[in-house]
Amino acid sequence: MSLFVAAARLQIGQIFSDRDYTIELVRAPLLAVVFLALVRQADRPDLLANALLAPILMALFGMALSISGEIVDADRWMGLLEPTIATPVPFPRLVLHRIVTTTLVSLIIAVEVCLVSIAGFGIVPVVHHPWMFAVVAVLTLAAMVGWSLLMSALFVATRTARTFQNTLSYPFMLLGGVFVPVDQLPGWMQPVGRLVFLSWSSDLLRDAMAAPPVTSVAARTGMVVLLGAAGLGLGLLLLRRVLRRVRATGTLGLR
Amino acid sequence: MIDVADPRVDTATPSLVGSGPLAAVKAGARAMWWASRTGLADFSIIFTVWTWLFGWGLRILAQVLFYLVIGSLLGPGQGEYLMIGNTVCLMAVHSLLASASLTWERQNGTLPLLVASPTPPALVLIGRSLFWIPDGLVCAMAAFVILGPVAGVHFTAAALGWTALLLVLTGVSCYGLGCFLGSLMLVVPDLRNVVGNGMVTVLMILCGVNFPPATLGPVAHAVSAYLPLTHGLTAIRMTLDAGGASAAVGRQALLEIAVGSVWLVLAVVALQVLARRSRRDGRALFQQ
Repeated sequence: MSLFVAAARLQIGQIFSDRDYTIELVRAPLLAVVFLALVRQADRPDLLANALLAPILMALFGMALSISGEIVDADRWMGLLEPTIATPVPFPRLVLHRIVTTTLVSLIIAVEVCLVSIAGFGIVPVVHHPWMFAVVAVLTLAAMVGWSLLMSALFVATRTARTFQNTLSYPFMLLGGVFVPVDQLPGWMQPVGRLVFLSWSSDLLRDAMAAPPVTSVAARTGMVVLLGAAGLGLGLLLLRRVLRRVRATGTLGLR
Repeated sequence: MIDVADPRVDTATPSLVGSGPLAAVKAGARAMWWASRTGLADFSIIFTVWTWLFGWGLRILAQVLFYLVIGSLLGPGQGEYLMIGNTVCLMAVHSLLASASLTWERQNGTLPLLVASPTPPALVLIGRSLFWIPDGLVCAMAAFVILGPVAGVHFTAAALGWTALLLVLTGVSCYGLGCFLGSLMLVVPDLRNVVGNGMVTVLMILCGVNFPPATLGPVAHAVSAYLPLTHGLTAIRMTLDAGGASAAVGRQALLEIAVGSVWLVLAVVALQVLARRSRRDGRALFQQ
């Protein structure tokens, strides 16, 4: 527990001391205005859940890309990597704790979007299946942690974090069905989209907000868990391999 | 920018700056030309052909497609509206990257040298990020050509030609705003991406990218008239509807130029004020 507290303090300090990291906190409420105005202007109240969830999921993924993804790379820049790796604490565990902290901080975005909806559009978000919504939200955050670790390891392995950060956002938002469900995307995109855990999460979260009963819950939540675990497993594997390589070649602090 | 050891330079000739307004314009143009080439060199470091094509290019197409499919879900005609809006918005996305790239000069440590030089720093800083405009044009035209037919937009050659011209104009106009924001970011460089991205999203809300500017009420509508992108986007929608240019398109284009010019003048003034203040108090780093 003390490790988590220390990691969380370090991570929260980094997030709020670098104002560049607040980008999603600024952008998400503005995107909420875009989507809510779109739905109102098109007179499609049935798409309200899509408009509310899209900016939250986009920002959640954005923070995973820009903050969690940069953890190892940023540590290397700041000269924190060497002393951290030299401590007896397993490095992947420390990174995971910091990623969990970032993911929890990104929950501020959900509050922001709800405030925009209520104060700006007079719409109070309604969740018809709150328990289902809570369970799927937790699983989505857990899966995001897994994929954040993979991105963190990938960025440091390839040393092209910025290229990935600039490239991955919209393709993942599209394939993750954050606004338009994957089964309504062009046919060739659907199988690819189903490999992105967000596509299962966003469908389930939208269904949990709607009145009709949610169907095939076990299989669909199982896919979120499975794909999240795949991200986590690959991330751990890659991070350990990167650590082994930089130790063997003596290039830990070198870029 | 001229190497004094370069044997091709005749040291006996008069000063490069010379005197008179024409010489000053020539010297300014020369400074801006070199600044734009420096920016282009930066761009070639950020992207290789492959990372641009399969990284940035794919992301840009995915961005327009993301809004196109939202439009298709919303109802008939919406896909086309959102596709055109978000494609033209790519010019703003690129031009407003100047708010971040203007600060590179500070990060590189060359800002004090610029402030100390006799050339106005505003010329160099504004010329340095010009490369975003052709980059935006290529992306927007690619999105039009590739995704236009998907959205049911069919162009005549004339409409496409006019659209390209209006895209350049819109990009230049947005560049004025990008440079103004960038000039402010020289003082707070860690906010460069936050402000640039935030402003792009504000433009998406107010300028008719996803819904008509009047949707959010009369105040928002009035504000949109003073922002770049609004008139350029209206002109492009008119051009694509009519299959070519018209007097109304020309009027919107002139309004876009006027708005962009005001923002560019504000950028020059802000940069000059910051440079003068830095010279006066000796803090040639534009720090607070």
